[in-house]
Amino acid sequence: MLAAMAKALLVLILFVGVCAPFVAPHGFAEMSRDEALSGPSRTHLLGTDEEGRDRFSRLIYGIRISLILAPLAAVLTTMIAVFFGALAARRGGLFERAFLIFSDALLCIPWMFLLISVRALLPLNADAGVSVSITFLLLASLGWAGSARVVRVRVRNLLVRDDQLWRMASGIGDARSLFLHVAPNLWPVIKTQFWLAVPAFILSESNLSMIGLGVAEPLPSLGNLIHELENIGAVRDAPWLLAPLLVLVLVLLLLSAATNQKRNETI
Amino acid sequence: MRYAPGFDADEHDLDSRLSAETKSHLREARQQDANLGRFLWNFSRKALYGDWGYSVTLNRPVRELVAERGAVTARELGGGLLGAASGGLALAFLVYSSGSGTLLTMAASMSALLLSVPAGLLGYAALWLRLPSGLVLGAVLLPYLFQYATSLMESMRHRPHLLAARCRGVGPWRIRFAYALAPSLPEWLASLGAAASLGFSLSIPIEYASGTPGLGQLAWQAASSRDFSTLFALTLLSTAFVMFCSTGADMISGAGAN
Repeated sequence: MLAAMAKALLVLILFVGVCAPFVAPHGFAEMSRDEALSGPSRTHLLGTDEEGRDRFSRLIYGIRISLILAPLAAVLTTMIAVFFGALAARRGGLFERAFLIFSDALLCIPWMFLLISVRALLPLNADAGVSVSITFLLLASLGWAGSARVVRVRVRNLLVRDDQLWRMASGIGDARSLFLHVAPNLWPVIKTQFWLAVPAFILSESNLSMIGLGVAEPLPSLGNLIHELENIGAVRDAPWLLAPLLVLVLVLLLLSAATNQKRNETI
Repeated sequence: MRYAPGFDADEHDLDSRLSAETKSHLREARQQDANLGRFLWNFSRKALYGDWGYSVTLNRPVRELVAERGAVTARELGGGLLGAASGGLALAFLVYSSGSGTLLTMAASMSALLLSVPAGLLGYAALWLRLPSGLVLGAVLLPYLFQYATSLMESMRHRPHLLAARCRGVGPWRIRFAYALAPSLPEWLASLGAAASLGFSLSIPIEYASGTPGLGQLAWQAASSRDFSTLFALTLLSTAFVMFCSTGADMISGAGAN
């Protein structure tokens, strides 16, 4: 029941984000310098930032970026994980050893150090569109190691099951067996890894954007909107500054509630 | 020729205040490490002899910077990890012992809430409230360790050894300590390696936000100014630290299990 409600709310939030151009009263980069740092009003529901941009509209666009791109990055990372994990389990031998060493090495490097090291190799003053692509592609390309190891173990277990041995004995081809018999059994693991990656990527993007290495201005994301809380004491006079944080926490809590059941089922 | 800032080119190439001669000198200085592979090779070779390079941003040898700031991060990480480990285990034991669904829901909700807040934001809060950054790190790590300890102890609840002990009439507190807590300790200790890795990662946003002059802040400065010697030295150091912690945790848990 709780999971269903969480999913419904997530879909609603995602819908608002997807429809941002129609829902948001202003553009995310639209400035009105005369109204900079104004409080909530009928035209600006959450007031304006120091450049006179409507905070409410930026929040909706921020939801759009974080909630569309984080799942896309999660899809990509899960695909990479499934590819390498399944291949390692199927091929075994040297390939599997190389995979284990590489994934171990990737897992040993603390996540944020790895992210900012690779991020620093890429242009730092790129325009907003490039920066958002770099941020999420980076998350996708570096975050697959843990999931790939889980997939490898699962595929390995599936490949030595009695029904699989029976299929091999019956002469069913490798590809057919993999797609028709192993893949459906792997699906719950894939879904779980995907749902685990989504909140991790949203949080990582937030942390990266907060330190100025994530999504660049003027594009809003839940992470760089929170950057406004740098002067956290200002919240006493302007509590509406907390709106992006509340949305982020709500989204992550909903994701946690929606996926807890799935995680438990897989375990 | 146009240069895009990235590896082997930086903002100096776009700085109109610098003369062509200066830019040319800067480029020549970078020629030694003209590509990433060569840079990494040279860096690793020198690192083996204790030369971790020179920070162009802070104008000091990286070794000195690491020695100076490493102590700050070590204190922060040590304190945070110790606090989170003891707090998480104590809370999990309390929840397990009480068997109260309400307490479990409250603790789980609290930890879910802490997991949902970006670490950097807690860093801002620490700066504002003048709290030590180690406390923030502890608050970030606590939910992970609490959740793991809870699931381990809950998994013990229906284990045969515990049911047998109950049938033999062993007292409830002895069951909790000797049959639920003690057998879950080795596995739980192994999770400290992962927690240390996470803590090291999160030291970057926390130290950035709270203004703590540790390795995390240094890594951020190095990444923002593309100071690769410093950045790679820190990444290698943090990797070595994580491997050391993981191996140590595995050894402790292995010894405990035996």
